[in-house]
Amino acid sequence: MRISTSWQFWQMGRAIERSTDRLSRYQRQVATGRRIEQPSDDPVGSVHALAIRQSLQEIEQYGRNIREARLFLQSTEQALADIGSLLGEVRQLITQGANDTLDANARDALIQQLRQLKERLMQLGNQRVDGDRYLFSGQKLTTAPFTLAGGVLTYTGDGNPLLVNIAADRTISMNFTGAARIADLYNKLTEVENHLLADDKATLSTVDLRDIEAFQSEFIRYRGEMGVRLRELENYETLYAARTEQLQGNLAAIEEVDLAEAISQLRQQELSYQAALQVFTRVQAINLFDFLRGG
Amino acid sequence: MSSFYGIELGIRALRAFQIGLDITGHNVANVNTPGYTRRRVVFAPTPDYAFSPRLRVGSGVMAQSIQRLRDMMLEQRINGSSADLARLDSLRQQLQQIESLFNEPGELGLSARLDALFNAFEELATRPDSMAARQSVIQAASALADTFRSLHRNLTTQESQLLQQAQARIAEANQLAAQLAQLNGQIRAAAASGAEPGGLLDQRDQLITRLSELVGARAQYAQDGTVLVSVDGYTLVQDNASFQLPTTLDIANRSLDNTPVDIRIQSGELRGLMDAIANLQSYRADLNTLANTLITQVNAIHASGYALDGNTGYLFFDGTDASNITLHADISDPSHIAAASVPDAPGNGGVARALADLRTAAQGTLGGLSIPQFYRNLIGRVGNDAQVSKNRAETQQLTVEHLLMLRESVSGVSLDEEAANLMKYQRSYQAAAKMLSTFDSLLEDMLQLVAPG
Repeated sequence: MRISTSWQFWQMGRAIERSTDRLSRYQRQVATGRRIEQPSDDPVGSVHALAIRQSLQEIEQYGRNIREARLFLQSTEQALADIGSLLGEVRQLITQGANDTLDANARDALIQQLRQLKERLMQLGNQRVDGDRYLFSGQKLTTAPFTLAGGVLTYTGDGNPLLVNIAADRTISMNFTGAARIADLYNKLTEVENHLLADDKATLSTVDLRDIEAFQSEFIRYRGEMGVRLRELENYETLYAARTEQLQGNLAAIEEVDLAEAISQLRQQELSYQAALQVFTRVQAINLFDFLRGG
Repeated sequence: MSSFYGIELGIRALRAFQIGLDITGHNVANVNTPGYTRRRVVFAPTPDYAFSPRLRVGSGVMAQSIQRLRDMMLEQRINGSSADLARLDSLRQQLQQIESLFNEPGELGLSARLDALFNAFEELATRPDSMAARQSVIQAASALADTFRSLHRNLTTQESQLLQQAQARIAEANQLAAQLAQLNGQIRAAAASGAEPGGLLDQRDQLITRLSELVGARAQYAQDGTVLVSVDGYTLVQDNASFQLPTTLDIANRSLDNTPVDIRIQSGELRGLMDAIANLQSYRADLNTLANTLITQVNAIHASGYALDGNTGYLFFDGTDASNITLHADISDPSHIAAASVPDAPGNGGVARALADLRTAAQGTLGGLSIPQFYRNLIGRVGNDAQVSKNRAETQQLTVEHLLMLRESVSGVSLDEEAANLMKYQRSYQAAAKMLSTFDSLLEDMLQLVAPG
């Protein structure tokens, strides 16, 4: 085939141009470490990457939700545990009050002690976490759940669950919804107080003791429920740590350059670029005009 | 027979080879001229001289014509392929630019903004009483609205630039058509006088190539040397008259409005620009659908909820599409964000949770996809369109290069070949000069015989 001179040069120019283009692409990949800079670099991969990013974002948010729920649940569990130990003290106090050998002074001391416990129970019931969020108000959250009027404690919360999404298909309540029982407990303690005042040993040793023991096991159960939820949070957190790692791995596989491969490609391109340059200088050195000397 | 027969024969040969040398020089000089077609001298023997009826002697050589080496079939194919390449290449360039407007993948893209808003809703569902959570909803939502608007604005700016470029292509085509008509006239006049106007033909071929690249024009060559140029049956140039292309674009039909029939643009840069505009418009329509769905859905859920002040019916977004989406004045006070599904329950995040669940909710207006899915599909389409156009342009580039190589092998100047021609004509010229001096010395010998000592 007849090859024209300008074509020769043009073709060489194109070869070098293409080589430079590829060279700069691999240089950029090695420098940035990124395989996808524009969606068109890999349309399927970039859509996939966006979806993975969304999953990572979701997991991050669920992680924040879990931390939020844990704080609330831990505080609730602690409050319930405190009520549990308070009940232990009440029980002891009742058995002492029901003791035949008790004198009036000792009984007064017991009554004082019981009043303090009632005070503490109310404090526990109106406990707040993280500023002004009441543990036991339910969704009324920012108003105190227990009010005392005429010696009777009333629950003014709504007992509704504070819901938290901890997974796309898992919502848990981070509060104790049976808080009205704390008011019942308080009012029971008032009864006990009255029985102590009246020195009604029979009632103290039968009904009161039985009721308080029932409250004890009830609050142990409540505390257990909080524990179950806390463990679920932990399970999700472990799951999310593993999923995050896996998703980040997938994302890297899609978006990031395999450095070893990119560098070896870069080497190859450098070689072919040099080759193109050499061929160019070689070709342009040869020309029949060089052999025409004089006439 | 004249005594100077030999000398005249020698002079004719010298003249012919001189022309050969000149043309070689012309070719060498134009080795880098774009669109130049190499010339070749066609030599022919001059008529015989009859000494007697039975003795006829040749009278030498003449340069009969100067040929322009051009394969017209190939030219037509090149023009057609170049027009396709121009279309694909300009589409590729434009789509790459449009693609970069989306800022994907990246933190500034709409995808990241959507994630941020849904996360903020989720956070609000967990902490409906928290002012900080409300503030971050406002911030995420206004960043998202800003991103929608700026993307919309950038697409629209790009669209108007593309429309301007399309008009510039039409204007250039019309100007070239006028030049072509003029050249047609000059070429016809020159052809009538018998000479082949090589320079004018080169110039005209270049204009035709450019016209094909611009609007996919086709050329038909007439017997009288003129060329008829048309686009989709609409005559642009006939003889020395040119007819302007209309300037009203019909993007959907890829045509120019014209009576009685619209002119369909099949290839060329103009078609590439029209394709790019059509793509851009469909991306923008998707973006508007997305923004509209987001506004409608978020507002419907939000209006059903209760704000911290106990009121209900507050709207969240204002606007109708990506061009005008903003935060509604109702929520300029963050406590007006309606997170609760019942009044007077600051711990209730039911509505915030419903807003967060929009992230995965299938939307009828989005063909059953969720909001983020619909956007990801759009990005997939944008990326795919750009990639396909790039691949097609690269393939077409190879086709055109192959044709150009074929053309160059016919029409291009080879310096090696010209050097060989130069040697050939130089030697021939030397030989003819030698002949001339031989005839001259014969004459001198004879003159010495007749002249007195």
